[in-house]
Amino acid sequence: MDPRTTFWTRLVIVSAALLLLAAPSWAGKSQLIFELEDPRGDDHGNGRLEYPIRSDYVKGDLDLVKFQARKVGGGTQFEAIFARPIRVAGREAIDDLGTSLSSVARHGFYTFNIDVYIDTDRTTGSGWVRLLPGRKAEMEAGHAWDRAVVLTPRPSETRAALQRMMLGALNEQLQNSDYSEEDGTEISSRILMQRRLPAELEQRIHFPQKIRIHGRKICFFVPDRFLGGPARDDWSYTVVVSGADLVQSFDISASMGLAESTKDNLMILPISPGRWQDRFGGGREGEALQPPLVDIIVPAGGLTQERVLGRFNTRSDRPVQLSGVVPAELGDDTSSAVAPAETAEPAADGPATGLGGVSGR
Amino acid sequence: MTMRTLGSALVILGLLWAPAATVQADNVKKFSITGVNYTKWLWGNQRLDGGLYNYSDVPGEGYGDNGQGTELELLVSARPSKKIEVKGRMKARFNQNFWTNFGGFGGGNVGTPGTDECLAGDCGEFDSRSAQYIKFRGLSIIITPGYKWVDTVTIGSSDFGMFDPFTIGKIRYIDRDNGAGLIFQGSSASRKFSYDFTRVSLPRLWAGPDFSTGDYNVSDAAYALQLKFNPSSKFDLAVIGEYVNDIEIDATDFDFDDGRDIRTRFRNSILGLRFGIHPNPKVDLKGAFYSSTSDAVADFSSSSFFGISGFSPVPAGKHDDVAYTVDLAINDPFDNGLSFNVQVFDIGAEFVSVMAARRESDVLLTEGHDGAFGLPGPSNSAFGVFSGEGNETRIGYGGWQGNAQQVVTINADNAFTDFDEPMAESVIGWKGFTIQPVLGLGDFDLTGEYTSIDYNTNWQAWGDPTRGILDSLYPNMESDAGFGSPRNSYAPFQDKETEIMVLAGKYFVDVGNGLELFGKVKFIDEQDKRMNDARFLPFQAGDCPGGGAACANNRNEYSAGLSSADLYGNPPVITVNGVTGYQWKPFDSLADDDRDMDYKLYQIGAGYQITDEIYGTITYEHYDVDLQDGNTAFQAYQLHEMASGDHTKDKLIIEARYNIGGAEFGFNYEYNTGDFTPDFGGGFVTQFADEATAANVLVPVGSPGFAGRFGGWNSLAKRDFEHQRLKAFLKVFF
Repeated sequence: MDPRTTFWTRLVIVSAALLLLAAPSWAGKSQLIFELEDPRGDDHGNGRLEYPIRSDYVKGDLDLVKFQARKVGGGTQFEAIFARPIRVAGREAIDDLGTSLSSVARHGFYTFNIDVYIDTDRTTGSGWVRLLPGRKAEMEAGHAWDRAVVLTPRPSETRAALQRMMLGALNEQLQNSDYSEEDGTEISSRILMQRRLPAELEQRIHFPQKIRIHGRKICFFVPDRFLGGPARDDWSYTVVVSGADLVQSFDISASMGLAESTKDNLMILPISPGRWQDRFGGGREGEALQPPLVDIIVPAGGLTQERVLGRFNTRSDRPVQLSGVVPAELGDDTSSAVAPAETAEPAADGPATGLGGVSGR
Repeated sequence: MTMRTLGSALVILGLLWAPAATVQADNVKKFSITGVNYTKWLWGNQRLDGGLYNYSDVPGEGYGDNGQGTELELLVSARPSKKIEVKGRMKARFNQNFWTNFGGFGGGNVGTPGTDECLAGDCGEFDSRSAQYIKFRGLSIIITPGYKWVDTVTIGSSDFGMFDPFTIGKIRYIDRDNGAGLIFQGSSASRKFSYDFTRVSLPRLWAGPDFSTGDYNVSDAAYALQLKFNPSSKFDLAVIGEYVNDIEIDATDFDFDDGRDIRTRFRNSILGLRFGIHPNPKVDLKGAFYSSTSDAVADFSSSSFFGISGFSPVPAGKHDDVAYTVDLAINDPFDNGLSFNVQVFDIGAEFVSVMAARRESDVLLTEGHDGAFGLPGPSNSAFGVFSGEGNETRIGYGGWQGNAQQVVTINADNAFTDFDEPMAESVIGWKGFTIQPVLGLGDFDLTGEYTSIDYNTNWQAWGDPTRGILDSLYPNMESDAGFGSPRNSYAPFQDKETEIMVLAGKYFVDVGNGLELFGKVKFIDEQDKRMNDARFLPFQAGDCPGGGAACANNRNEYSAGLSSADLYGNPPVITVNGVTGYQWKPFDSLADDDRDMDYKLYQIGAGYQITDEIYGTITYEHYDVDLQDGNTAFQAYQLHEMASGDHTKDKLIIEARYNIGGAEFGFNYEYNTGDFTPDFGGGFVTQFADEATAANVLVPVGSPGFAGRFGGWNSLAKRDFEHQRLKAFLKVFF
């Protein structure tokens, strides 16, 4: 070996070894705030959801088995552990231009979203009950959320998409209202809202950018400035896992009736009856309100995930209603099991019996 | 709700929910059409204009670094019943469809349509590569019959991504529905058991010896059965069997009355086993083992290859071998962000899988080599010692960006790629291990890599001294000379070992929208003694006495009648400017072909989310490579530019993406500078380019160099490079 190379080789190896071996002593121990467990094998929504038929989805990939929060410097680190190793975006081309998957899913993961809806004030009637677009689910009134953390492969693009969707909805509402263009109050109100939107979103919904993957575990950081401090175990948490859709469309074909609209699918894979390559299968016929949620954490002693996600009715405009989990109420131990999976008994079709009719404040 | 009540963005969020009354009851369209538009703008100072891709090694296909073009893709989907789905695609291609063709009508007075003469859109509307036509690209019918024994039956096009990179690899994206066949997929026991069975019609373009499936190809197919067991999320197992059958009509069967007999042209069978053990979140163990046999029948394909430039995706003759990888991941065992990945791999020299993934897969953990030096010559040229179109660098001095992806086939495919895409390299013959520690600590990420590679292709005289040196069973395409070829795994003489070391870091600075700083150092130490046994020296000791005396040409035979003199012929005696001596150094020492590469890469960069829609990076890379690749006795197999000497290369890369919902703009600009200082050793008389040589191989008149065995010219002058290039694009989903 060339002497110069030998030198560099040794330098790099020694440096790397020192850095890595010294790391444990630097790291310090983060403080566990709470830990929630979720049954294995329940990555099937209401019991009938089927993964897309394609090579980057295998049963277990979106099966959340543990969810933790740790206090770290400057914020909270949430950690989600899945049943199988997380698929990491490689450099395979995903379009005709040769765009690599890893350049689009820059944070490494690309197959799932994790939404964490947090009710911080635990006050009935305070907060928001509807989940983000495409989730097709609501919170029970007692767990209405005040803050949401949305882990998604393209956080900035998702935030921008949500803003566009909201502005679009705002404009549509204006057009459908009985105000005229000349109504100065209306226009100024719209302008005001447009200006407020980014700050409002920033205040209410956080899209983590500091993300790290270790095998089956994904860690994402939420700063104290968003939650007002570290996460607390007496808050209510609703954790929802869904499939991620990286592609956004202008929906022109849909507007002409040539395709399904994807405008409400905020980076989420939908669900339909049958088996599909580009969405989840196993959906009910004629039920547009079936949520495409793969795995959720439900409170111990309550309804099972399968029953919770089966209680919707499109004809009655009644989406499923989710309930949060309050770690502090699960016992002194921060670790707690939640309701076991009900793998064989999907909920029957029929009218929902939960808290119906709750809408936004 | 009225505007006057709007007090919070969350209220607007509620507007995004359509009431159920307005939601279509059946949330699946029976028929849909969606589309994608791709627009590409290439610019570069190589001024090549053959096609709208930077690189192609397919004879007759265009490549270039300039031009603008547009693709339109229409995706049609129909769901006539809940059990049947039909999906089709119609698409235009970039190819030679430049905007300057003026709607596909420009040109037409040059070349014969459908031949290699049509390049750069010269044939206009008379050639399908420049007529701006939209082509039917693929259609698949997916049936979900509702039987217990089968979940879906797919008839027609597929990318066959349900198998694996060692057997039937996922077809590259641009060809994703070019392949067609039958696919049966089923499961039972809540998908704890599942199977995939397919019959793939064998692609006649490349899936057989000599990149062909012969004259009678419509019945050629690959068959594969994959059984997967997932009894729990802690353990999974899959077994796979594949059989490729390329048949021909038996030309000796003259009795047509009882039909025609058939014979095998090429067979390739593979048996594989994959498993995964995931006992807890800290540990993941995966393994993949494959055994292959292949047989390329001599009278239907090449029985051997011209030893130093054979082209084929599979070796000639019969071969069998094994390949395996074992991966161990130890994930954050101390709960402090420190993880370890380890891979052991051994890919047999004669492992053959003609349907393995050709690119866009990565079977090894190591970074491997870098695309910046992708082909033999200092400028990334192949056959650059000769004049003529196509022998200059195609991909450009900058090569491809980033490190290579590793594929398990010499059918590695980099055609129709641009510089911003990864290069695929063959790992046939590689064996060794990779250790990769990964540390994530606060805002800091650090990844290390140490890889040691030995080679199953370390052999002398192609591993079979009973055959002539130019009578190889192994194609070596652009060869292992210089920086080598990504699709070559074989060399006539090899005694090689490689060490790769990488230390990459990333630091997140919490300013503004978050600044990502990143950097990397990478070292490759690669040594190859090539010929390591004097038995194989081409001529007898003292054959070329020097002092202006001619060589005696007394061949040294390593087997009866066989000598490497067929490859390394002796030089003539020449006199230049009063100096008399050999035109190149006689190959009389085992050191004459030694290769020693000391490769260093230093990278630093930053990325910033300028707005939610705009993300940009700037990267600077400095390469410093000291390469000894034989001397003028070896002369890069007399086919390629010699790359022995000192190389420096600097890359400045600026990349940005602007995403506005269904549209994404992007550009990637690269500024490459560098130099090459040749060091071809001594023992020969330096020649100087005359006017003809200068004009032929584009060197200054009077510049030093030497003419090789085949008349190619290697310049001894220092070379300075400055290449710029840009790829801008727009894609719109509608």
